[in-house]
Amino acid sequence: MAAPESGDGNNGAARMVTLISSDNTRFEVEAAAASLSQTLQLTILDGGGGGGDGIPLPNVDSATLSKVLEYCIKHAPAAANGGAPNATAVDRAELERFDNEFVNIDQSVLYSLIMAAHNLEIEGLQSLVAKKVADMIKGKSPMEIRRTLGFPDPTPEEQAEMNAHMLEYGWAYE
Amino acid sequence: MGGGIREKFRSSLCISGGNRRQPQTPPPSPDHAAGGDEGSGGTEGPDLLSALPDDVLILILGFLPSAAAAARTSVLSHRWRLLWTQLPVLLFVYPEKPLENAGVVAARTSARSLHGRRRRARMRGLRSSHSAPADPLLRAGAALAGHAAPEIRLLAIADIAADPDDADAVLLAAAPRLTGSLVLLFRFRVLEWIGATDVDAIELPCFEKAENIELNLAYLGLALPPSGVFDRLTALRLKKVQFQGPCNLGDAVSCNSWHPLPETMKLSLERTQTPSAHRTHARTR
Repeated sequence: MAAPESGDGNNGAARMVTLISSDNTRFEVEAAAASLSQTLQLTILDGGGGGGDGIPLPNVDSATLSKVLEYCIKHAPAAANGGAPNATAVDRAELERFDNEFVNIDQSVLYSLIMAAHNLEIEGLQSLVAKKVADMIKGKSPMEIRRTLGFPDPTPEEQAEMNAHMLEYGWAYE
Repeated sequence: MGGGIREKFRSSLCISGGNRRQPQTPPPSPDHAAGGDEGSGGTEGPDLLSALPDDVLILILGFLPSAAAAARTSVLSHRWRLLWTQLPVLLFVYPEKPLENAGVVAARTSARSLHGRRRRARMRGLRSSHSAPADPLLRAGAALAGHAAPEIRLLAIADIAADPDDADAVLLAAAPRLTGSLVLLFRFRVLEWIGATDVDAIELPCFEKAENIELNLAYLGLALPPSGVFDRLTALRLKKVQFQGPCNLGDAVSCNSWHPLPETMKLSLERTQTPSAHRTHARTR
């Protein structure tokens, strides 16, 4: 604890692991950050990902992976404290600010992110993005939701079907 | 952690010992894959969101403020029609912020025009409530009729007032599937219903799989099931409840003597009233 800078705690030097994106970019991160992924955690506990070996992530491209890791690195210290029971209000506010900024991105990136978080089982990131997408839907009419989510405008037949459907679901509208 | 599970993770990451493979096709999305809808998946059009697997979309719907808001997304496509019905959490809270858009006027109007008929329609039960108007309790009834998930982890209804018949119907519909928490909160008891001579109490069916039940009935009556076991219940919280009928509380939570009230169960009673003939025997722990 004398040298907080180095990150060398009682558990030995901060272990690094290498992750390899689908487009073959290598990312070296602390094992603690990568372990926010339940999926990776198992591999890392098994001793994988160190040295010259990397962990290939064939479903995650480098742009998405770097974003995912940005999240993991930011959240790793709090996660290491077991959900941060002794985090200060300042720390929590800072994380919240980070989260808000973090999801302030293009929809296509959001969807890549939630898919990656889903595959890698990063619960916090999944929820964060899901909440963001839900906020985009919230309080909107069906047409607005369609446009927001990038659905094509309905054909007249589809419109008629939508209207009939909304009548059937009257209970959900008043 | 069993080797099988680890293998599964390995294969989902395409890790096989030291060998690195570069598969071009992603592994199949877990669980729901095509969602069981006719030809769903690739037929959704170019929107990116629909490329996500069902369980991710269901997760997103779970962050909407109410089950009704989630159900409204079913208008998007055939696939979305099924998604909200798999939600594990169903929230019905009044007042939900109303939609301000002209696009839903037709649906709302159709609901309004039924308003006068509502009370009579209530007695006909949930099957006819598809197009009934939507206070939270009625919404819950209509939603449960269309909801298809095998498990409900949370059913929460907060309403201004309740018609006991409506509440009974909702509770009956939910009881077999509720595996988590039931929260039912009312703010007022409506005088009209106090005057009713026959039904003035909500009948609590046996929630065999529920873990947590919290009721605030604004002094409506509560009739506990004469038989049945709340096997999984770990917390029971009753507020502003008038107990009705012959069953005492100790019996209700353990109606069979060989099923004693679990020592670990938290029981909380607040401002409950018991008709003089029927004292509760259970103590607040």
